[in-house]
Amino acid sequence: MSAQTQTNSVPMIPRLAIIDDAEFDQMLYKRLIDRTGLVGETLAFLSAEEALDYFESPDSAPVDVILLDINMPGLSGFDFLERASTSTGCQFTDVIVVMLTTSLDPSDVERAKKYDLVRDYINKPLETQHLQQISELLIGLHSEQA
Amino acid sequence: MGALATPFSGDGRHYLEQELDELVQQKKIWQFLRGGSLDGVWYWDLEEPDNEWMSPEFWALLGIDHRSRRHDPSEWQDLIHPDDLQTATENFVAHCDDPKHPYDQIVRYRHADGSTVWVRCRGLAIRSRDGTPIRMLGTHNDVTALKLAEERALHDRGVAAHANEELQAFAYSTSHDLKSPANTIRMLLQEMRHALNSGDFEDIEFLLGKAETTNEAMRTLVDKLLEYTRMIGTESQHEAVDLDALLAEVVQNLEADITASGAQVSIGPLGSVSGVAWQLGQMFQNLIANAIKFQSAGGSPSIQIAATQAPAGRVKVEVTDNGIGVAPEDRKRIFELFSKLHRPSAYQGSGVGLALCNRVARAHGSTIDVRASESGGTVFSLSLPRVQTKPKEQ
Repeated sequence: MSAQTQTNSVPMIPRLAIIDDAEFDQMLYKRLIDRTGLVGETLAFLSAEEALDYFESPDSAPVDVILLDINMPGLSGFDFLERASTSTGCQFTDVIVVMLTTSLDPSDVERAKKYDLVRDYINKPLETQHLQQISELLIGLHSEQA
Repeated sequence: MGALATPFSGDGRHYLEQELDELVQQKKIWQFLRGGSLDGVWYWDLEEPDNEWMSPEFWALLGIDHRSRRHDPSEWQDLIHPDDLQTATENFVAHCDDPKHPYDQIVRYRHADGSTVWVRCRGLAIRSRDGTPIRMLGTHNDVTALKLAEERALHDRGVAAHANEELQAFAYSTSHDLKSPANTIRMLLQEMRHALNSGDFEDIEFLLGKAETTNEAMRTLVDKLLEYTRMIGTESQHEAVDLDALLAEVVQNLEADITASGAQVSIGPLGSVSGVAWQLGQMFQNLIANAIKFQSAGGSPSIQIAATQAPAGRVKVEVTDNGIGVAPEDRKRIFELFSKLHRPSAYQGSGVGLALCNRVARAHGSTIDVRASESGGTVFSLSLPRVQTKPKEQ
């Protein structure tokens, strides 16, 4: 896991977690995200297991958005959703989960839609416009709650 | 048989055959039809329904000597498939009631040797002035060859549909797994453009290195896929394969990896099996390469390949290693195409190798079982058909 705090005043997405096993891709997401200036802190997890450890720990800082890969060795993205929504330790009510995957399989999209947590579905590669889309979703979620 | 003492006249001919011959004025044409166009003829006395003459050709079709027959309908009714007898009876009743309803069906008969003979059976009732059916004249056509061809075609269609489904699934997973490195390269190129714009050549150098690595992984994946596709739909001839010689060749191919890892590989003696040499070679190469690769840091691989006799004319072959092992819950999915248990930074892999091994095992009538070895590593176990040895001549 790596973290970096940006010096911007109030970023649109204060804390973003990316769960993806592809290391090069993680590095490239980070560069893209930093260029947009939309994100305060980016947490990179190379497996669903690592991410679960983080979210189940009471000391961990809350996360606003999770970008979640589906096909990963070990636990898949769906396994992560399954465990995260049943684990009592995980507080996920205010989190936007966006599936991030190469998968072109419509059945994956259907499956993702069954989870209330999942707000969007992005086909890789991640692009600047995706992050803008996500930050708008986050604004929408916050105004709903307000 | 009713009114007649015997249905056979003085010359030994059945009275219905006689009558039929008289009925057909052009006897030569009739003989041509009977011998050249039909496989059987029957003529039924509906006023005396226990009498039904059936031609010698029909009985020959079922491997039965016509001289043993009494020309009683129960003789064929005992040999016809019960379902087909019901269809024939229904059509018979309907045809007697209404001449427009055809008496025409394909039925199954049991040949004297137990095999099935498919016969198309057609008939026309001959009616008295008031329309009452009094006789019925019918024909038989042997359609067994057609039916068998139809069955074969249906079976082949099922096989083709299955292969097509498999190919579709394969194409889907392939496009999926090839798109992943393509995406990475696209993002790397975008980053290079940014680096170029800011004149950061050091960064370009760094990104180029990553692009080269990604491209190499993609090339390896394509090579692996080509290996795998060679297995799809090929039905190669099985021959005697000397496993000891084959494994010596495999070890030679892997020499660089074996030397680099300091692996100890002990083989056999394994003897010979019946199989496809190049497929078995690829399977063992993948299994040994895996045993070398999936090794804990600092460990030195120790690999044994051993063969023992197994029941049902087979040889059990086991590849044992002292590597990191496979957790019980993962032992099934490691054989799925593109399935990976580890991320690339831990263990590089395309997710094709074991899927390929599984195909080879299946092509040799086996599955691959996985269990833990004594050292906590893995044992891959499969069976191969023993070579059929001809008995020595006395």
